[in-house]
Amino acid sequence: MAYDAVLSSSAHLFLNQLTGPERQDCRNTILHSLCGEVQPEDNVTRNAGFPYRPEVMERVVGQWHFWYTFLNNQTIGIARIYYSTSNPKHPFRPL
Amino acid sequence: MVSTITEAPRPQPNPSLSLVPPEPKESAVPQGLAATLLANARQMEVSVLVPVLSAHDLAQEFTARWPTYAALSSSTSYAMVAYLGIDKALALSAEALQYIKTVVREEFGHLDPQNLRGLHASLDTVGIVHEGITQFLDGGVTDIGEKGADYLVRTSSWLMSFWLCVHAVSHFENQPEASWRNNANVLCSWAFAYAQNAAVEWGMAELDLGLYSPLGDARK
Repeated sequence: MAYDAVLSSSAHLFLNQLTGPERQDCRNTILHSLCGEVQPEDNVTRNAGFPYRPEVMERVVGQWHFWYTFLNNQTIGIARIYYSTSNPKHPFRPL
Repeated sequence: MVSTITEAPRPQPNPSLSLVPPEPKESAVPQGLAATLLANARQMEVSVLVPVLSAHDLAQEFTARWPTYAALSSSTSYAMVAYLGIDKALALSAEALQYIKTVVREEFGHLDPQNLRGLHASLDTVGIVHEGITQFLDGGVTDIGEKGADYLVRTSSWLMSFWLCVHAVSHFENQPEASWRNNANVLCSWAFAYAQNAAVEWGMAELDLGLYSPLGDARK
């Protein structure tokens, strides 16, 4: 099933500092890819070495890295958006 | 024979030991607060930053010094709020963040370029978290519930770890020891991870409080 998505204020602030085309791509990725791909049983472990926290899921789609949670059976809440490592703006992407 | 009497140099008062308060200067920071900030910064340098930068086992030293850093950092925050009030304290913190960004851009060229990019990115991320917290406080939310409080504690812990890294890195200048440079570079990458974690925790708190934005009609 496809979920609806809402953004935390921090995710919204990140989205707003993107350029117009980037913002559109990110919104399209959320609405047309992420919302159709997520499953409640997803339970991706976060970075090794940092505390494991089961209620936060992570998924990389295209050029974006999302941290999200299921608010209810229809909506996901996106806590944080960042560039994925395939995005040229990711700081640790080799030049 | 001509004898000359050379006057012995008079002992100069040690400003740090003087009981006479220094002349007040034109500053946005009240004198009492400035003294507290200075004392905490000196204590931080001696008991946290230098031991961390010079550590053989960085992770162990970081963990061992974290409580002292947290105590000094909290004391500094409390003093800022007590002297300035929450609004001015937040404004001063935002100003300090901008200043640190400038310093990192202009003076940190001796660090690994990739780690430096990570540090820039993490400062931007923390700026977003800071802006979110400011908006939250401006909204006047007083009851955040047990779960919201838990998220806030975790957010502040990640921010504390982030700032420990940044303070240590900013304390590192052109130290000749390679081990200091290695530790500074590792701290840059840790700062990136801590900033990401702080942003996730704060985003979770906002979702838990119902502070979220719909994506609008982009699906159409």
